[in-house]
Amino acid sequence: MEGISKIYPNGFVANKDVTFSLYEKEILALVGENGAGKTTLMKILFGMEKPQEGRIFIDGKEVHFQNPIEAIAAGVGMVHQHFMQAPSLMVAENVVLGIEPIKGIRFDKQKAISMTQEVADKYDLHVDAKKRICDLSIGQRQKVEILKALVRDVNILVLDEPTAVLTPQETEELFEQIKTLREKGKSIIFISHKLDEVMRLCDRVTVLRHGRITGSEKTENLNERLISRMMVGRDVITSIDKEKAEPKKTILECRDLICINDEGRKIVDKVSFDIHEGEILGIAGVEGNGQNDVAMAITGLREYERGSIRILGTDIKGKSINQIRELGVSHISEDRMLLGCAGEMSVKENIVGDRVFRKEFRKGPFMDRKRIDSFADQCIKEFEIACDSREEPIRMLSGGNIQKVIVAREFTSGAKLIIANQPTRGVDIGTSDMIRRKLIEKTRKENIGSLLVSADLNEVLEVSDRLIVMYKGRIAAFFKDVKKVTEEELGEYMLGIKSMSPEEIMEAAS
Amino acid sequence: MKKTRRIEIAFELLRIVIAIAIAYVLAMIVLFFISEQPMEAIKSFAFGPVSTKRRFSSVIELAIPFMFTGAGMCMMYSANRFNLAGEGIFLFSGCIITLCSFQLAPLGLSPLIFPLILILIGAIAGGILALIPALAREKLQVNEVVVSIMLNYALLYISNFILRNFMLDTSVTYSASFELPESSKLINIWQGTRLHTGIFVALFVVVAVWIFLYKTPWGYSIRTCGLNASYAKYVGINVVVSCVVAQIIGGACAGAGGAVQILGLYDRYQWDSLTQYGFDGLLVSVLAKRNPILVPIAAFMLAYLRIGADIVNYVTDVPAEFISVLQAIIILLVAAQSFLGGVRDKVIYDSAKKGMKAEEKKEEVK
Repeated sequence: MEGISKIYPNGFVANKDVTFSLYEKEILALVGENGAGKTTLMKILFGMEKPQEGRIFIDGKEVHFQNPIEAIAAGVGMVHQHFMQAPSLMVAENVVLGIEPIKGIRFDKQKAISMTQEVADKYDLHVDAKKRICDLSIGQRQKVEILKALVRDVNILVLDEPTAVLTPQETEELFEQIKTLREKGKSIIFISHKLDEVMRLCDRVTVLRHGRITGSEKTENLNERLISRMMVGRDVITSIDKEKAEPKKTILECRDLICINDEGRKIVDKVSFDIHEGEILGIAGVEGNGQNDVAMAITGLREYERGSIRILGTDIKGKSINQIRELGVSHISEDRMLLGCAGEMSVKENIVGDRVFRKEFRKGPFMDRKRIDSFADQCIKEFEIACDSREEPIRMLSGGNIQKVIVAREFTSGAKLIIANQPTRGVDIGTSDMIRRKLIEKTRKENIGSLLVSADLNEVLEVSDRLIVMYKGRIAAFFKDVKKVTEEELGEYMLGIKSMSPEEIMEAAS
Repeated sequence: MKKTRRIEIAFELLRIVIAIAIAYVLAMIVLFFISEQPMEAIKSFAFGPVSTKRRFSSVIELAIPFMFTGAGMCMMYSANRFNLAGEGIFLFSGCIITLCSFQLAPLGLSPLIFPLILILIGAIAGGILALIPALAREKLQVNEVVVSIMLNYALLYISNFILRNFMLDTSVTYSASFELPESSKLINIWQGTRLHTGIFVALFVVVAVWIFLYKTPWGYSIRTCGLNASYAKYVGINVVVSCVVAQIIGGACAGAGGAVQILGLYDRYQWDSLTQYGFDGLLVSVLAKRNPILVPIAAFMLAYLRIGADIVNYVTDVPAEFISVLQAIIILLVAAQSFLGGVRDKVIYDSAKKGMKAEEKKEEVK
């Protein structure tokens, strides 16, 4: 691929002048943080997205894919992060979907089974072709996904974070199979941000950051530390001045929190921390390491299996979201459009979303329109929300301004504890800066506690007073003083290269 | 961005006008082939309903039940629940209040109070019945459409059972109840027509539903649930309670409608099949874009079409089925979200581009 650039319609630059190559019989790792542009790049290769600039060559011939069917025909196969399977059909039926063998006008089931079995035997991918998908384990479903590509006789196989859902044993098995595939002449692109896996499996590593290639090197010339630096090293932006925190009373007490996901894995594993008045606790980590689940558990959006969460001394187990909000929790969620607002409703209605039942906004049984209007106008002014009027549907605003509306609502609810989950993701620099400043100002002036969950290292380092790094659901590191932490250090903890001992964590947490 | 909003509203209106125009043109073309008197038929269809006092009043009479069931469906639709029990409730309410009227007649209530009590009984019955599909949906995750449609048939047969066993008047040749007590009936308000005071009840219900939905925090919660249930949950709204309440009120509207229909237009309860007013209510709420304040207009429009069709049917040689096709085209085009959507998007895009260029120029001048 040569000089690939991709800009999405909303102006987000996903790839900028990316050039990289894949050799025959090679396992190439494509690593980078979330949002670095790995998946977009692969979607371009697979014909799912079209780049604005750049060319793709396969075996020296230039190709232009209009859709995945053409890409498959040219020998490119992709295994997606999320399985694309019909659970009620059997393995063979899923594998041949789209290229079904036919006998007369009927679907030839026997042929489908033998086709599947043949490919499975050839590449040592042992799955029972007659079993139904819903009866398989996650690891086996992954194999089905790989079979789907192989049965179409592809030469280049793209695996998008294939180990994200696997257990260590299943991962081990997958790696063996990938190596077998290489021996049989296939070339593989392995997308991941788990560096230990990359080091073990791959021949070469290409690193992406902010849509650009920052390095491409043979694995034997690299170590995890070097890769990590290529991934997270970034430009420093203007730092925000803030006074030192003087933590007082405890607002949130989280003890041995355990959350288990649908697949029965511990997604949050024995996490404990406190948040005090006037302090911001940051949680850093690569996405999907349990930070989001901690935030959801505290705000009542998800149940937690074990452990305790106390807010101002009250245990929140079994409490409704409304009761938790009334305890004084406000929440900026990571998903703006799904959880943060109702797109069809006006700016005004979204600002008062959580408080229409409060006395101050009511006149008897009715909503106090005048009060709500003036409150909304005040918020629009204070938070510099660019909109035509308070009556405008929020969906017509830009992403940054929608986020401002959400922040306005959550910051004015009179909360004692603010949970800010990725508050500046996908938001322009100016707005991000404003949100960060407001968060610090509010925490200090009103003496409330804040939890900042972010994958943006600059942000957590700049805004938080104390900092947790989460890796695979556990606290990998706990820093009492953020000022002494470097980004490199943080990166190593985030990617699981280093981890603190329980004693060190205990010491920092106290 | 204000411009965008204005363009959207303008297109909404334009769409309705064009939809009606297209339907009439299509009708005209077909009529020239199938009818001896095509102009006559079109004229009857378009202007028949306003040609005499009697015809015009029947449009309004027909709009009354549409307003009740339409307001009720707006309520359910606002919570994004398609509880269609209104159909069965409308009929069942008519049956049950007839039965109650015989029980209450000996009390000698005044003609002002008596019908109101009966309408209230109908509304309460409707609210309770709507609870069945509502609870099945919110508590057991059973699709409310399926349950409510099945419920409609159950209610039809229960009503038939009540009619046969408790109030059948064997002195008349058709299957009907005894005559309703005179003091229970709604009063006629327009000499020479059948228009009755039910129109005021209907308008009251529409306005009440509108105020509830748009002016109270409960209505706000219901609308939020309908527009984005995940967001509603996140801000602390109890989604289950809100949706159940919406469906109870929706059912109550249909119940009140059934009572008003019987008390306003009939001497006896005599429905032996589903009235279709419930399903028409869904149509009305879609045309009204789930806003109760537009329900009277949508109800009037639908009633106008229906009466026009009736007139065509008995003054010309055009079959009634043809008119149903015409109605369907109009409704389809009005309800179709993306009809003219492409043109609208293009206009919005062009205006945005112009806006950008204008700004660029301004900057250049600076």
